[in-house]
Amino acid sequence: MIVAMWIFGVLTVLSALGVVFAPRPLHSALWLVGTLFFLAVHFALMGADFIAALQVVVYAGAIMVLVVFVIMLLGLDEGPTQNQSRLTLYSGAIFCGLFLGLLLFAFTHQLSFPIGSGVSNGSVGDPREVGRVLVTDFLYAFEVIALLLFAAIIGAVLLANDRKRPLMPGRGLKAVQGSANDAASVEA
Amino acid sequence: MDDLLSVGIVVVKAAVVMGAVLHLAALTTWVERKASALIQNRIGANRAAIFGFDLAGIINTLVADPVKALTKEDFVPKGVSQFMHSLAPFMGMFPVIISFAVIPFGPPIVLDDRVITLQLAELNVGILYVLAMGSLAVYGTVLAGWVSKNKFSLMGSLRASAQMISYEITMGISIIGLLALYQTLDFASIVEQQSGTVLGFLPKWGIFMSPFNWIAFILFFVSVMAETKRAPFDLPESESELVAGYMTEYSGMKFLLFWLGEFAEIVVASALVVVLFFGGWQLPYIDVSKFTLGPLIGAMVFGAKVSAFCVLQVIIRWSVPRFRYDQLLNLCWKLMLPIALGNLVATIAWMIWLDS
Repeated sequence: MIVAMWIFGVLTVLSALGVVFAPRPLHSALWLVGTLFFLAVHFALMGADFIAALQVVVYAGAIMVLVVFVIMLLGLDEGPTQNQSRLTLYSGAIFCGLFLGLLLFAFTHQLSFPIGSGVSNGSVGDPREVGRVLVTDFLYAFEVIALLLFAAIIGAVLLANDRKRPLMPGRGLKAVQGSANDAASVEA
Repeated sequence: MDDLLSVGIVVVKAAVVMGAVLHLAALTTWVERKASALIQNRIGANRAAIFGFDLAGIINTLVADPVKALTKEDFVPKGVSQFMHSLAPFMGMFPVIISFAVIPFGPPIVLDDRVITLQLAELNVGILYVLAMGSLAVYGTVLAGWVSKNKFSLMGSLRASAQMISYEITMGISIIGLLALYQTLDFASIVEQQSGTVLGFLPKWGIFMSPFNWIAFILFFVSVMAETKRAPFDLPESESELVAGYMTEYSGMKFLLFWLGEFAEIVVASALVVVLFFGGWQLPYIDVSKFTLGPLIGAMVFGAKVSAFCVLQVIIRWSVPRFRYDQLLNLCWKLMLPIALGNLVATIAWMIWLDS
């Protein structure tokens, strides 16, 4: 178990570094898929099978597919990424450092977080227990999240339905039709 | 010593399962060729025979395909990353093969002091694991279409991913009612619950467990067929429009990997249908696990059921014409999804009525 944890720990860190240092956005995205997958392996090693499966379904399977889609369709992968401005670089480094410090402090001082109080440690991998807690103890938070996602869906439909303005000027279907119309009028 | 034996057992089980999946997939390619020849009167496969023995033609197919693939030139388009180009077939194949790990294929073997379950990984969330691997399979097709730098490939992979993501939803929702009946996500326990009879004469298989489960079965079967990306759902590689879709720029062994992955997907889909709806390794009216040779009989029953569904999928593939793309997505979002939700509500209502 410990050996597996070390192997997958190293793999997780390596693919996380790959996300940061990969030369092209698509490669970064694929490294991120790897990172999320290996994180799921860690969950599984700790006995939280349910969380591991959800991690792969939701993050690696759905969200990252969307990210890869956006990279492909918007042509963001034309060449190597431009150099980020120094401000982004330094602020990112500072925040990551702070977060790492916080995590190290938490782990070395055996802090107990109140967040995990609902599910006892032994049953964290049991879908029945997670489901029970979701619709009893955390019903309020659960419904709020459902409302938030619903609002996001309505927002997406509204945005996509805006017929006066194309979604992405110069790139969307409207722009293609517009240029076709222009060409037709020029020919006429 | 005991640890070493456990590890050895796991290794043997892994070898047997992976070997069985790949062999079944290879055999399905032969069935596919024969069925295509029979159904559409295609010349070639119906004449593959050795000294007049029709069945011996299986050797022709099983040897000729790999030899052809291995000796072909491995062509990589200009300006394409060699690594990514090779990565795509593996990313398509890998999730399909490992999703077989949670499928129980027989009753446990009980030796004196040791119980060997005929299942590689005893996950308590087996179904979620299979769904997760299914959602990872999208990357193979997406990547293949993207790295090829070919418009046909890109179109094919976009179609494939939209199709796979859409049908994953109906696939998941159609079995929620069934899982509520089983009260578990664990495949081994699901199969164990399917012994005995309902109403006195029907085998207590998933499909007969509630009056609505046959709807769930049809929805699930159509969804997994759409996930395998074969006719009538083969829009991603429709030859008449897109050359070969996301596989256009692949040749030789890489193409064969995609192809074999597709057939492995058929086997996994059949196994899922059998485990969820048709009793897994259970034989109707007879409790197989009571016999001394129970595990062997169970595995054979399971293999027979899976093979039957593989053949059924091949027959459907060669008898039904291809959908149009908008019809495909309309079928999923406007027809199957509402029916799946209605089926879920009906099943839950039936359960509550049964309880009261």
